[in-house]
Amino acid sequence: MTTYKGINGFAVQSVATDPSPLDEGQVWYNNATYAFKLAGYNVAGWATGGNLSNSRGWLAGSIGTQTAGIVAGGLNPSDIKITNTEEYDGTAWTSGGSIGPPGGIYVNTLVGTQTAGLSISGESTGAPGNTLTQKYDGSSWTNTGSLNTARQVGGAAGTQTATIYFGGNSYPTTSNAMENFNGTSWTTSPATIGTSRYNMLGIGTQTAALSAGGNKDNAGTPYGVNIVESWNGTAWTTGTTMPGGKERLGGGGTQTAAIVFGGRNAGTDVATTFTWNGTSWSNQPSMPATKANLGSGGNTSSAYAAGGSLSIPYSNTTFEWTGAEVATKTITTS
Amino acid sequence: MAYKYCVAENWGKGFITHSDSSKYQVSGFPGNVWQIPANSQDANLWVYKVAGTFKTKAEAQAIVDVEVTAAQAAWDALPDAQKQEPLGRPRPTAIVLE
Repeated sequence: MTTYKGINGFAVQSVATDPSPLDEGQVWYNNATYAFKLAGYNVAGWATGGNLSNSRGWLAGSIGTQTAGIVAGGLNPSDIKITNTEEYDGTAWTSGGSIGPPGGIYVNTLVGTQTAGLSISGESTGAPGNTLTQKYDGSSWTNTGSLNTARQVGGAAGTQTATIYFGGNSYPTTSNAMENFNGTSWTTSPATIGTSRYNMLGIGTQTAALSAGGNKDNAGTPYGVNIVESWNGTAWTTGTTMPGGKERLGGGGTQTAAIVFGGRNAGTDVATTFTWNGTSWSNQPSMPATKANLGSGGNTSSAYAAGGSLSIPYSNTTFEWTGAEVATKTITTS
Repeated sequence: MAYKYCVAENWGKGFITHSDSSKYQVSGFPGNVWQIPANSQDANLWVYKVAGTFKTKAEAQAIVDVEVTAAQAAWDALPDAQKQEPLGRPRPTAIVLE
């Protein structure tokens, strides 16, 4: 009879806790749970997560993680600006502090974390774009230093205390400007992105970022570009283009391991997902439904996509991304 | 690829699991209409797991059309300033199921 020991040269280990890190194909017996287990390969894909309490569209940015996500502001199904914040724990959304101004805000670019977040610009007064910057501490939003140049739907990357904001639209001008935030105030950078555009996604840190997708046509032609630029803390350089054009997209990660999903291309919302490994982009399974101007965050291993859409009625759904990984599986017989 | 359609309410977490999506693609449309590959045992079983009701393509299209028409009517009632991209909301477009 063929035995595990005969194949592998050693017996199945009996352990009280599952091993870490896992080796694909590894088999063991967990004597605490009385179960044979296997380190198997999970393919990447999307699942549904908890629904938002408030359907909302016109969200922007990338903030937090799949188990500590956040959405703030947006438009409600009556197409009215809202101040409501919701926080996600990987299972359900709960209410957070109200974001300013009192009349509500949308397309404000979020960056940072659930307990140290930043909201940059947005549309709140009827005028396109402003300089408003707000900090979130997990409970309350407070105003902080203002952008030097009023615009909206630019990309942002970094943390609450070290962020860059680049591009954006200050109608009728599309911007290539970049500003640095130090936790208190913004400073205009001498560097600029290579292609002026807006509705792009910023990913990474203040000194190692990506600017993915966007729309470069200030006349409002509704198409997304596949342009990617890379920031090294000193200058932007043109990067490898994405497999498809996207504006109003979500995603997250780092400069060398990023994921982007959803968005809009040629006037149509899309569900496509792409990942970046620092060298090339790959097509991944699409989301269960399209989302554009969505709430998002996370990385290539786990991410979330919440709410979204440009048109009423807006979405209240959340989708959760799990990347390809080696994971513990229990061996059953049946 | 051939598809089947069903109507099922997305209750959130657990409605589509990672295990589900690793085996087949579920695509959602307005009106809680979901599209699955027709020739997948797992996908057909998923419809039962989520208490879905199978619909013909024509029935599913009719449900989607009602939702899109309602959204278009709501859009038509918006002030003009809110209708034009990039500042405004685009008019919801018709969706044709495959």
